[in-house]
Amino acid sequence: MTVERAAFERIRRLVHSQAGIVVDDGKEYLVEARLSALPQEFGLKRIEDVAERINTEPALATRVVEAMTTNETSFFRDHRPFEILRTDILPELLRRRAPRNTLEIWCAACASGQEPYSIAMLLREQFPELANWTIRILATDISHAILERAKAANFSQLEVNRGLSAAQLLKHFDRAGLHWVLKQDLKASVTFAHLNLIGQWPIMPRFDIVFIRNVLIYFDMDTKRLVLNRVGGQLSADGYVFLGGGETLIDTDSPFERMNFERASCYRLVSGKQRANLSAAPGRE
Amino acid sequence: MDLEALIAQAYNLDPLPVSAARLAGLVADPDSNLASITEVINLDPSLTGRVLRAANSARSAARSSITTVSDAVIRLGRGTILSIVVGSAARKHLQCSVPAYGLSENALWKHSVAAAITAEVMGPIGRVSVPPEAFTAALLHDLGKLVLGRFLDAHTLALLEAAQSQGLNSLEAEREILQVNHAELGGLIAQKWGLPDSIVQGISYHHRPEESGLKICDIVCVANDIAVITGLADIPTPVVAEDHTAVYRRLELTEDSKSRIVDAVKNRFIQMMERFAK
Repeated sequence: MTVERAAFERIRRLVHSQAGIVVDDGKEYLVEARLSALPQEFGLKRIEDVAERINTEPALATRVVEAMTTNETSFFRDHRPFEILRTDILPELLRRRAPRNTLEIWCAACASGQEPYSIAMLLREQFPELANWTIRILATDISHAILERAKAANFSQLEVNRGLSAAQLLKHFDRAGLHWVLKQDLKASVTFAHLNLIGQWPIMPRFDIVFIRNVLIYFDMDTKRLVLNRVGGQLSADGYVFLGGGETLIDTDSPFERMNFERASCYRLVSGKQRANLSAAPGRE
Repeated sequence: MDLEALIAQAYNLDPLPVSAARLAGLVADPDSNLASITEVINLDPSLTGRVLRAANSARSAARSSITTVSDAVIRLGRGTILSIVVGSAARKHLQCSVPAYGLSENALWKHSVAAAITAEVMGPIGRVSVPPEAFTAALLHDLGKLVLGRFLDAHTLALLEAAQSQGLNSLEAEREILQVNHAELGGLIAQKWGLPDSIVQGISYHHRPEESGLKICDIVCVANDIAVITGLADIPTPVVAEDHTAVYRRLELTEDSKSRIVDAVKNRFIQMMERFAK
């Protein structure tokens, strides 16, 4: 069953160099599972044939990288970040942004779109006073294929079961056969774009809120540092960053400090002076 | 894994009788009354016979004999009534062998009944407030294995095994390799059967109850755990054990109450198997 060692090495080098994703030893089975459909798609016989061509066929290499990215997501994933967004972060930001009535939000690895659409639903349900604001939700991902799915906003029953209540489903979605399609106005409230976190970033606004959850776990420490510092440079001075529940900033020398709320946390930028003091303290997160 | 085909297969499983789904809705509704529950059962002659037989079964027969459905509901309790009705309908599915999960004929059924009994005895022994529909959720918690098992060929099983050899538990391995797990697939079937949302949630999150936050998910999680501990069903030991210490803590179940629950489940198992068989 196992993918030959040389092929495994080629594939994991490619995935690391192009996406920053680390494929650990012992993960041959994952390469096998994720790439099993590719040989046939490209008229080849085996994954080893795919591995041999990835350095000379860019389209194939792109498909390999996309297939190796993990797209696990769900609506209102982990609940609590959305709860503190509702109870603490948004009310505070809205007060501060009231003069210009604009809010910029970025979901930095959006997969099939459940996260940005959850934020859009939360804003619509809980903050009706924002109707005349300019709210921009940018959702990016490295995979073109998954972005197409996200834009379509067409979800299976299994996908909507992950995190949505029956009331939310009926309120924000239309039934289409066995699937559920997000209503057009919410769909239109999210802009999707391709972005490789370790590649060149396009010109983007300063964001008030950045969701970059369950992405860093796939990176090595150098890549984490790089990405976090770039995210810091993209964040408003008083903006907030949300990471995945199991992710920490230990040893990343990032420009963020942790803010603890009841049963959840997020991060904000520390000032240059504070940063100099804090970085002297060992084990800072 | 062809998720569309998987969902279609889940939807093709024989549905529950309409009366069973209606009864489930009433049992899960704290505002429903005895009269409405009785009415649903009375309208279905086979259901009526089943409920009366259960109420007059060995354990209950020491007392005066039961001749009306309303007396049967009072004697057995609405949660037990529902588990009997749903269990009788789901039994033919759950008795099947599921080779992909190492389950021979009847093994899944025995495990499911042991889980249902656990949910039932957890209340009085562990002083846990158990919603009546939890027995049914526990009984159906592994429904998804029936469908997912049909999609697991030798190659996929080898991938799942390799994932577990790298330290993932079975549920994590399913999610990583298949993008779906048997628990949420079971929830999907229960949803298709028209069972109330609390039962759907109890099934969907029985391995990761903290993701739902509903108490019924904690209860079904522990019911599954204790059903395994009883050893009443011949089911494979997980390669990587899940740690549910926090779930026991949330339900305030001590080691002592846990071992008393295990004993109670073993004591009641034969009688409960007979109850469902009638």
